[in-house]
Amino acid sequence: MPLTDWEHVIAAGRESGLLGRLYWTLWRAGELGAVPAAPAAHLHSAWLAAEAQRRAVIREVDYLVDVLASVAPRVVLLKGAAYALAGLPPACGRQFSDIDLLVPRAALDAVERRLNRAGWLGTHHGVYDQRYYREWMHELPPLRHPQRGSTLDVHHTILPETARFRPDADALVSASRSVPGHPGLAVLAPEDMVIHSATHLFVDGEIPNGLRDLLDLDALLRHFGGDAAFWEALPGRARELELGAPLWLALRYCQRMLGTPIPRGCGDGLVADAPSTAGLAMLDACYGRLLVPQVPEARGGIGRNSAAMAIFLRGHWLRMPLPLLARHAFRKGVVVPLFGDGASSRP
Amino acid sequence: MSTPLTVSTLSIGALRRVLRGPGLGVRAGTLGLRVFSSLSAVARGIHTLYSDYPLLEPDAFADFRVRVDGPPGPRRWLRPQAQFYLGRTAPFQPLPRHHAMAMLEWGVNWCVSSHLHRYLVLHAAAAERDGRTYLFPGASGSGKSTLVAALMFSGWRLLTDELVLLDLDTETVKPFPRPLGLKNAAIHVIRRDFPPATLGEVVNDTSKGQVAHLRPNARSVQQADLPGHIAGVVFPHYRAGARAELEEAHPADTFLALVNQSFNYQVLGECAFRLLSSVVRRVPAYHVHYGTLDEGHGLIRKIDAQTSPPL
Repeated sequence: MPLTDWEHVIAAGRESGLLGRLYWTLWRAGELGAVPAAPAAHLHSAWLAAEAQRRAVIREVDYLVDVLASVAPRVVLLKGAAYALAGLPPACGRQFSDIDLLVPRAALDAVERRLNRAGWLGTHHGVYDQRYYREWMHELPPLRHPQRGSTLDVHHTILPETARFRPDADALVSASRSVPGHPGLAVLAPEDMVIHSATHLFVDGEIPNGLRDLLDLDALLRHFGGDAAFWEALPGRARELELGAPLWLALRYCQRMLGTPIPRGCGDGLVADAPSTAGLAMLDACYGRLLVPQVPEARGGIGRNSAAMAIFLRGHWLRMPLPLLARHAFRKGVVVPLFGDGASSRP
Repeated sequence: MSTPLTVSTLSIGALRRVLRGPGLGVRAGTLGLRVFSSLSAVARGIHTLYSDYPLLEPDAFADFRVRVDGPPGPRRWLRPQAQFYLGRTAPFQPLPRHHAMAMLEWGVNWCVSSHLHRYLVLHAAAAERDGRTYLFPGASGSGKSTLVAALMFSGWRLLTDELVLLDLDTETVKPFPRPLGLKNAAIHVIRRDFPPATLGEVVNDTSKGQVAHLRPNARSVQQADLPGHIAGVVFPHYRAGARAELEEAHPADTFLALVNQSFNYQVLGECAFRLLSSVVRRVPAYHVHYGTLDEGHGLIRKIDAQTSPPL
């Protein structure tokens, strides 16, 4: 590959936060030697940064468990932090951002007070935003520690309270698995981890890290997929959690875009969750554009921008009933731009 | 190999076309940059400040593809702004349009200090004389850029005025010469004391006050592939009216100060620890207090005379 092509690979990889991942993938395949020195230096830089982040996440989580020991004896980690602590393949070379925790709803107030006392302070102070998070969403407003520099998303379930699908958070917590070497910590069971990752990618209205999230799913499916029992349990568990639809999409796009090996018949249990033919054509057109990284200088183009808008609307439609959505859109689209966030903070 | 073409071979019109179209590839020391911009202030700034920089060969690799342009939105007609982009990422708030060139400089520094971990990146200046390189770490306002500007006009080679790239294996400084950022009174002092100085457009209303960039001399740019061997660490402390004073720094304090001035110490971890501890054990370090540029310059000469091998 000519050096000028490498320049685009590095720029696009940096943009989508995948350079560290690419380093790890090439290293595992024994192909690093084939990369010219100048781009290889950037791959290695990103790998070092990812490793430093991974170490920092582990350190931070161990500290958190101590802080929360008295109020939440079992803290369930989600997404990146879970992959890092459980030593799962998606953690390799991955960029981490916030630390996501799942705690029982009953413990939420005590957890928040304990975290506040330990220095994690709330963000989003406007009255409307507070109500948005506390009444309608599935998490507290993000908590940030100014000295430690970490941000926590404390969830009590995995989808907004207002969403169409109502997964049972207690079922997730009771099926969670302890993390060896880290007492007090747990991660979701393999099937739940995949289903949550799928839900995160295919129910949210914004997909800033689409390819990274799809690669997470691919790595999880390849890792857990060696066990036939995993594939047997997966569709039924998704239906139980009312999350068959996002899993169906996740399996489809993993297989189509990344060649993830998925046993025949795995989709059979999800037939009822498949979208209609017309709906699927629409989703294919949107996700086909949004899940691949964009060449950084390229303009979005009508196709990509309208795909992003369609997925944005779909995500909101899935997450909020229409009257609430209308109200939220009015607030964010009209009130805040005109009057600011604080001026009319009465909800 | 023939001498590479430099930016000065492009007319301002050609420069503008390249910046608007395929991007201007320039080499700054070890790094290749590809710059895109439709703003004429950027074309003028590059024309003045980067004239001696080699152009990237057509098939060469650029480490960072950066762009300075007006951000989209209705403000572009009311109060024109400039925004810096690495790819699609805009790490800063937009600034008034006439800050565009300064923004390019700050943006490139941001790219290096947040993405380049093949070196330990220190917030410091570095200059060399007769094979002896001195690091000048210092917070904003300590006078490091002004001091190395004065050294540059007195026959020293400038390696960098802002970001020292320390090679982890050889413990040498990889030169990254770029236009020197001068602030407020320093702009006047450099113009007064060094008439050959070429400065870009002066911007009056930045968050740092008045800012202008100074073109590095041709030798510093041409010799940017020669690494610098560290002979000492000098902490400049400029304060108007201060008495000139030279004070030795303790290696442990120097070590901590260098850790504090590094951008990626945490990322590199143990390698960075080893590198910095070896540097502070090997070379002397000083605090230089001065009230005028001449005094500062004099103290550096004194330090260098102590460090250089006797005849």
